[in-house]
Amino acid sequence: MLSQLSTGQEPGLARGVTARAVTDVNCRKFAGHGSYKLVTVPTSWPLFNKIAGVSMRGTFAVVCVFMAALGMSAQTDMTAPPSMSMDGQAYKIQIGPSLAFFGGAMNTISAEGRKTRPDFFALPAYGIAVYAPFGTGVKMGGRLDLGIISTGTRTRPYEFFDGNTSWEGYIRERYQYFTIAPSINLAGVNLGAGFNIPMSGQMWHPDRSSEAFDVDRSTMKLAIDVRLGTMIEVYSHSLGTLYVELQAKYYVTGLYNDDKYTMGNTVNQRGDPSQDFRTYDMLDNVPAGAQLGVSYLFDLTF
Amino acid sequence: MKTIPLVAAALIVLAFVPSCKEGPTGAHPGHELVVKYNDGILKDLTTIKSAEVMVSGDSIVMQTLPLRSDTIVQGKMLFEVLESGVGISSAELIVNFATMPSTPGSYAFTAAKATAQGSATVATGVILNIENGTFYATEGTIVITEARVENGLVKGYSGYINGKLKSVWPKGFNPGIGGLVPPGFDISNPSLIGEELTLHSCPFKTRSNSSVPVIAPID
Repeated sequence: MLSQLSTGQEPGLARGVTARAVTDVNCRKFAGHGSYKLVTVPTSWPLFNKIAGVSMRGTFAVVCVFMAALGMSAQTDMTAPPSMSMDGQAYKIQIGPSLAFFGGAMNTISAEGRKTRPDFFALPAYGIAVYAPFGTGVKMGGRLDLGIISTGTRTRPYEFFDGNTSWEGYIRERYQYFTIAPSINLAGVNLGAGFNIPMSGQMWHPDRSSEAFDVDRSTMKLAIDVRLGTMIEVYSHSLGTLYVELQAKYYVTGLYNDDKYTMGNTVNQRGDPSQDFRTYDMLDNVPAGAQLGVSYLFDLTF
Repeated sequence: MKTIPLVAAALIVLAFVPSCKEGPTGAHPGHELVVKYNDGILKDLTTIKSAEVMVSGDSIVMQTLPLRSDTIVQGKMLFEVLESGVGISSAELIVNFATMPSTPGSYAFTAAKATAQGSATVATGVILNIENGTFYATEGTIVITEARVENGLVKGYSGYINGKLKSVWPKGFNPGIGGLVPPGFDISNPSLIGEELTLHSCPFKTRSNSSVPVIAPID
C-alpha cells in the first residue's frame, strides 16, 4: 500500500516502510464530520512529495470549491416537506414547446476531391421540452427534448463542379430526424445526447431547389449527437418561463450506414471515381452545428 | 386551465412535423453530365457523359459509374462506359420500355421475370451489368423529363432513374458449379433471389444520332 487512511486517530506506520512524512496537505478536517483524513507518504519518494505540495493541494482546493458550489446549488431545507421549499413553494416541473429558429451545421470531414462548407437554415429544431428539477428550489435538473431536428451541410462535389472556379458552387444537404434527447441542466448549462431516428434526407442544387434528390432512408442510421448548450431565463410568469436557448451539437456516429454516403468516396477533378470502388476509403457525413432558439415552459406544480 | 396552452403548443408542434420519405427519388445533384475544365492545361475543355449510375447494395459499397456513350434502338436505351460504340451485349446499362415514350412522364418498372437460363426479362425497367453481376429491375421509376421526338421518330431522351434491382442467382451460387440455394429454390425455374442493389440515381441524356420510330401501344 502506498498510502494509508484512517479517521479520528493518528495512524501507525505500516510495516516495511522505513520512514514516512505526514504532509500537511494530506491532513484535512472535514467540516461536519469531526474526523481527519491522514495520508502517509514514504520519504523515499521525493518527487511525489514535491508534487504533493503543489498539485495535490491545488486539486483538493478545486474539488472543495466544486463540491461547495454543488452543495449550495442543491441546497434545500431538510425540515420542509420534500415537495416544498423553505418559502412554501411547491415542486414543479416544466413542459412546453421549444423552437430553434436559426442554426447552422457543417460536415466536419470530406472525402478527397470534395469540400464542405457550413450551411445556415431556419427551424433547425422544434418540439416539446420537459424540464424536471432535482428538487424544490434546485437549479439543477433533468431535461428531455422530443421533436424534429435538422442538420445539414454544403458540399462541393468535385473541383470542376457547376462550371465554377476556386471551389465556388456547392450543393446543399439536409437531414431530418425525430429526436429523443435527454440532458442534464447544471445551473443553466445543458449537457446531453440526442438519439435521432432518421425521417428523410435531401440534396439539391441551390439554383434548382425544386429538383431535390431524396436520399434512400435505409442508408441512414440512428444518429447520436452530443450536445452542449444553455437555457437562459428571460421572462417568468405565473404560467411559465420563457428561455433563450443556445446549443451546439456534434454527431458522433455520423449519419450514414457504412459505405452508404453518396459523397463519401474520393473523386477526381471531374467527379469521376478516382479509385477502384474496392479500394475506396469511404467516409461518412459527420456534421457539427449550433442553433439559437427559445422555449416557453409551462409550470406544472405538484 | 394550463392544459389549454399545452394542447395548443402540441398542435403547433404537430403542424410542423414533416413526413418521412423513403427515397431514393430524383437525380443526385452532385453528378453532372457535362463537365467543363476550368483550370489547368485542359482549361475550357468539356467532357460529356451520357449517363451516370450511382448504386450500392448489401455488400456493395456506394459507387458511381460514368457511362460515356449511348444508343437508342427499338424499345431500349443502351449506355456503355467506353466511348466506342454501344452494343446490347456490351452495354453496362440497358433501359427497356414496353412502349417507347413520346412525351415526358414517369414510367414505373415492371418487375423482372427470371428465365431458366439464369437471366431475366424486363418489360419496362433497367438491366445493369457491373462487376458484381447482372441486376434486373424489381421496383422503381424511369422519369423522362425531355422526349425529343420529331415526326414520330425518337431523337433522344433526358431524365433520371431510381429503383431497386436484383440478381437471379443467390450470392455465391454459380450455375456451372453449384452452390447453396435457399429451400424451395428451383434452379430450372429460378426467381430473382440474389443480392439487392439500390439504384440511387441515374441521370441520363442521350447524345447518339437516333431515329427510332415511336410505336403506339397496342390496345
